[in-house]
Order: sequence, then structure tokens, then C-alpha cells
Amino acid sequence: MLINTVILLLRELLPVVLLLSLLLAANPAAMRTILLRVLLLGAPLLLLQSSQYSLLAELLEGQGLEFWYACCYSLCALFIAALLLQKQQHHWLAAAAVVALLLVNGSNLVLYLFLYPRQLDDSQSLWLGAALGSGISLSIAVLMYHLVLELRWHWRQVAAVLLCFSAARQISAAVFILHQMDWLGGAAPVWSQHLWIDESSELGYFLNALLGYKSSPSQGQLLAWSLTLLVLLALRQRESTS
Amino acid sequence: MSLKPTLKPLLPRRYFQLVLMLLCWPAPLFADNLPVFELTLKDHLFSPSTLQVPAGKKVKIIIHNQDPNPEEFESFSMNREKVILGNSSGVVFVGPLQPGTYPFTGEYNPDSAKGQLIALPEAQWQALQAGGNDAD
Repeated sequence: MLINTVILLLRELLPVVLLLSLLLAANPAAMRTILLRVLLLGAPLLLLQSSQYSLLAELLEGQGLEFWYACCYSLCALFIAALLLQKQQHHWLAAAAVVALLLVNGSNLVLYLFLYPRQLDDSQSLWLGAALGSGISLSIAVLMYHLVLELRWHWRQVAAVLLCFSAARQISAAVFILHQMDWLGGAAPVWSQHLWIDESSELGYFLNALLGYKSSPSQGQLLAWSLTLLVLLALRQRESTS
Repeated sequence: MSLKPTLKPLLPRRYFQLVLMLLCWPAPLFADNLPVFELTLKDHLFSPSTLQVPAGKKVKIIIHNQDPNPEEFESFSMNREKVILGNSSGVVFVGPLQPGTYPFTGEYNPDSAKGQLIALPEAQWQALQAGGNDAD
């Protein structure tokens, strides 16, 4: 129970806090503003979504929840792309990008932590694991934030480039869900790298959260990820030189 | 004079056209002629714990969660994960898979909820089907 909870927290929370750390590193002066807006927007939406799980799950012949998640991933990527291509900072866009991802990852956490009745002994392990998993995820995010801030002295575009990777990750995740729903072709895996970097390892979780790494990506995922990354990098380059 | 920043057009139209063109290769939106298999989850145990499917074909797996608690069906090797609420069912499309063994687990109870999916080559699959028909 304890280890499982730590792993689940790590897997679900890390992508959200890493995205938040990249957005804050891209605009450190607006940290308090963005965090407040994430809280104001995210908490009520997450609560609203949690109250409608059963309804969402029954839509589209039992695939309503997945369709909603695919929309959230796509919206997250869209908001990140919009941020990257604007000259001025839009704090609501940054907050919206984090909230869109929070609605996906946060829902799994809500299900596991709050909507799953347990015995008292298991509850203690659960909350201890949640604290450990949250602590690890937040520590990694804080380290990433400071690392990006330091790297910006040498390479100004580092935060923007990592955000391009993050947007590509969200699109890849949306395609993954559409494969699972059989709404998109190209679901056959291109390769399997379980022997190199296992996706279920700690490094695999981190690379997945930051870059969208998959040890067995499908054709569709690989194409969507590459295309999104290349287009955003090209557009960002054009934007920064204009 | 308005001081409100205006949002520029997000992405060129050609980007969306290219993405749609490249992603929409033939895929049935509602696949009614796929092999269908069923998994049942009860008392945090998958039944059957070993599921045999034909390799090289897309298959539809219906997972019935007969426990009151939600469970997350997950398989890294099949690149699939889906949360199934308590006392409900969920559908996962898998494949086409290479011949081999693909483990899966219930993420919320990985110690007990686990199983494996075996993708059989065509000849073995046909033999299995024939053996089943003979038994009938």
C-alpha cells in the first residue's frame, strides 16, 4: 500500500508540477499570480469533475471519461502553444494549461485517495505514501525550476524549448487515449525499449512527465509528438527572431 | 486606447490541415467486427488471469469491475491504462500485438490484481480455436 501510493502519487503529480515549474521558470515574476490562478481555477473544476465521474464514464458507450481526458490534454497543449507564440505573458493561459493537466492527473488521485474506502491501517499507509509521493514530486519540480533559472543565464530559450517538449507530451498523451478508444489508427508499437529505459522505472516516470517518453510508442504517438515538437520549435524560433 | 493585450492567431491553418491529414489514416471509428474478450475483476483478482488473443489483430477487451471500488487497468507493455469505476465496465482496444506475453495489473491493487495477455501466432490461435470447437 505504501509503496504503491508513493508510485501513484509520483506518476500522477509529477507531470503537473513539472509543467508548473517550467511555466514559473519562464516567468518567475508572476509566480504568485499563476499559483493563485491555478488554485482558483483548478480546485472548483476538479471538485466539479469528481462529482460527475459516473456521468462522464457512461457517456459515449463507456468512453466518455477518456474522451474528456483527451480533450484536456489537447487543451493543455493548445494553451502552452499559445503561451509560446505570444510576445506578452498571459498568466491566465499559464494557469489554464496547468489546470487542464490537473483535471486528468488530479482525477486519478481523487479516485485513489478519496473515493476508495479503506481500513484504518491501510489509510495510515495511504496518507504516509501520499505525503512521501507528493514530497518527492515537489522536490523534483523545485529542482527543475532552479535548474531552468540557472540555465537561462547561458541559454535564454531553455524554458521555451522544454515547454515545446511538454506540449508535444500532451498531444502524445491525447493520441494514446484515442488509440485506446479505437478512434485513431496507427496503434501498433514502433519499437520497445523496455530493456533500455523501462517506462515503469523512476527515470522512466521522470522522462515521461517531462518529455512524454514512452518505451513502446505507437506510430501515431511518435508522429504526433515529433510533429508538434518540430512545428512549435520552428514557430517559436520564427517568433523570437521577428 | 485599449491596453488589453490581444492574442495573435494561434497556429497557421496549414499546421492543422497537415496534422489531420497525417493522423487520419484508415481506422474504423466504430469497430464492430473485432474479436471481443472479457475480463472480470472481483475481489481484486482478474479472471481469467491469462487471456489468449490472436497476434497481429486488434482486439476489444471488455473489463467488468465487480468490486465496489474503482480500479485502474494498466499494462506498460501493451501501452494501455484505463480507470474503471466500481460496479461498472470499461472497454480497451489493444493491438495489433506481436506474438508474446503482455502482463497487466490493477494499479490500485498490484499485488493481487494481475494477469497476462498472451498473443498467439496465427497457427496456434487457429489450433486453439479448433480445440475449443472440438470440445464443444
